[in-house]
This record gives sequence, C-alpha cells and structure tokens, in this order.
Amino acid sequence: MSAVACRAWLLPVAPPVHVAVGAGEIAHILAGRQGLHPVPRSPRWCRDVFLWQGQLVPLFDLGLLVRRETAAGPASGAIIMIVAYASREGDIRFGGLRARGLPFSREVNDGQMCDYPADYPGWERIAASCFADPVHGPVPVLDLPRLFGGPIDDARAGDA
Amino acid sequence: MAAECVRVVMGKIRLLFPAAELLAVEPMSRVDAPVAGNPVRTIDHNGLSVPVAVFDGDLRAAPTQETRRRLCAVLREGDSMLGLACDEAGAISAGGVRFHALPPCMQTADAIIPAIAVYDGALFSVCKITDLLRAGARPPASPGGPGPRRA
Repeated sequence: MSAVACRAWLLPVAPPVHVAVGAGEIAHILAGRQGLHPVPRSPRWCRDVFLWQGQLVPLFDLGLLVRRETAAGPASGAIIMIVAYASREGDIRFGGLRARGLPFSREVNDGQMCDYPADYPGWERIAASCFADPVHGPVPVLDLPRLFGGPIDDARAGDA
Repeated sequence: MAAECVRVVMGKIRLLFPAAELLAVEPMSRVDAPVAGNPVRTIDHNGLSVPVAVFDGDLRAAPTQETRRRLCAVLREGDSMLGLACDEAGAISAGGVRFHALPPCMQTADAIIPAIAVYDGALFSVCKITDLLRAGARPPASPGGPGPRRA
C-alpha cells in the first residue's frame, strides 16, 4: 500500500529552522504590518496583537522561542502569516506567525516522518509531528490549537 | 451622562482604564522633586499628595528621575489614586469601545492585562490601577504609606 500524501506549507521562521502547517491552514499573508500593539508582560515570543478583519490576532514569533533570538526587527520579520484553526470549542480562530520569508508548498507523505530537531527541546509542546524535508531537514508540523490555545512554557528556561 | 474610560499613552504602550476617572492631566514639572531617602515622587491634587509612577514597557516601575514623559495623568479608581507619567491621556466614551479577551497564548504568571480594547481603530491594553498596584508596579513604599495622603 502506498504512503498517504498531503500538501503542507513550509514557513521559514528562524532560518535554517522551518515549520509546516497544513495546506488549508493559511488564511492570509501580510507583507509588512502596521498597527501592531505590544502587550505588557506578555511572553517575549508573543508580544503583539493586531486587528485583522475585525478579529484580534496574536502574533507569534517562533524565532524568539526556538532560537532564543533577542528581538525581531522590522526587516527580519516583515511577513506575517495568518493561520486558521479550530479551537477546543469548535469555532474557527486566527493566529499570526512571523516569517522570515515567503512560505512554499511541499507534498509530504508518511514515509518522511522523523524526530524533531534536536536544537530545541520543546517541539513536542507545539508540534504534532515532524517530517524530513530533502532540502531543509526536519520540519515540525505545528499544532495550531496548542500553539495558540494556551500559555507556552519556555522549554529552555534554566539553560545557561 | 455617558460612561467614560480613560486612555493613557506611554511611548508604544497604550492603556485603557475602564473603571478609572481622570482627575487631572498635569505637566511633569508639577511633580515634586525626589527627596533624599524617599524615592517616591508625588503630585499635589486638591490638597492630596498622590504618588506618581513611571513604568517601563512591561509595566514595571522605572526610576522616576529618568523619565522623558512630559505629562502626569492623575487617576482615581475606587479608593486608589495614582499619578502616571505619560505622553497623552484623555477620557473617551465607553460606548465606542469593544473588548476582546487576551489571547490564551499571551497569558503569563504575572499578566495584568486581561483584555484588549478597540477604540476608533486603535488597540489598547485594558488595565486596572488596583492590578498595577497589586502586581508590584507600585513605586517603593514611602514612610507615609502607599496611598494618597493630605499634603
């Protein structure tokens, strides 16, 4: 029996780290963004919210979570992917992902499953699985309801 | 009379106080100079000595001497009064404000912003003076206690 294949979007979030979302999970792409609102005492990887089509959208910067980058300058993350997911309550919600480049599409099959990248210990908390891309190596597939549905601990807390 | 909210702008931080009353907006030059041994600066409001707070971008107390804010907004919320060093402050009609819960992924153990407000296309972090004080954002306690006192 052949492996089940599906399409995914790959997002460069912290080069060389890429993450993937399902083909139907990208709702919109914003090139540059005004109107980001910083929220005091929010996690350093999710500091800003913005309005999109009347909805309040949190902006997640995975580079600041998985790579411990210190800040995202406007030039380093001017692309915002708006992703859609079903909440635990069953309604459709939106989240923003800061990307360092445009997303691109790949066909992925079960035979490509692999372990998460070793350089960040918290992938299990925010991803559902991982596949090996021939160019970019291990690519975690984001679990959007988990990523946006609750607080994310800093898996590196306590690291030197 | 329509209910009002108070908006306060501090650099990139925009706060909305739904339950506060804006008593005055004064120039920072009216704030008392710091006294040796007592880092709390105060401003006189109708004979009351109100503590003045300067906050950084995470709403943590910052040294009052180093602020570049030009204004001091004097707010009252219930029994609490506080002067906030700021760039802008004003009252807005509560009728035009829409509230959104803070997204769950933005919650932290010391979060004090429960919601985001939208007013006239702009976003504001919803805040309470009592939460600011309770979360430790209060200026260091003075010998006379934290609250307003008769000058």
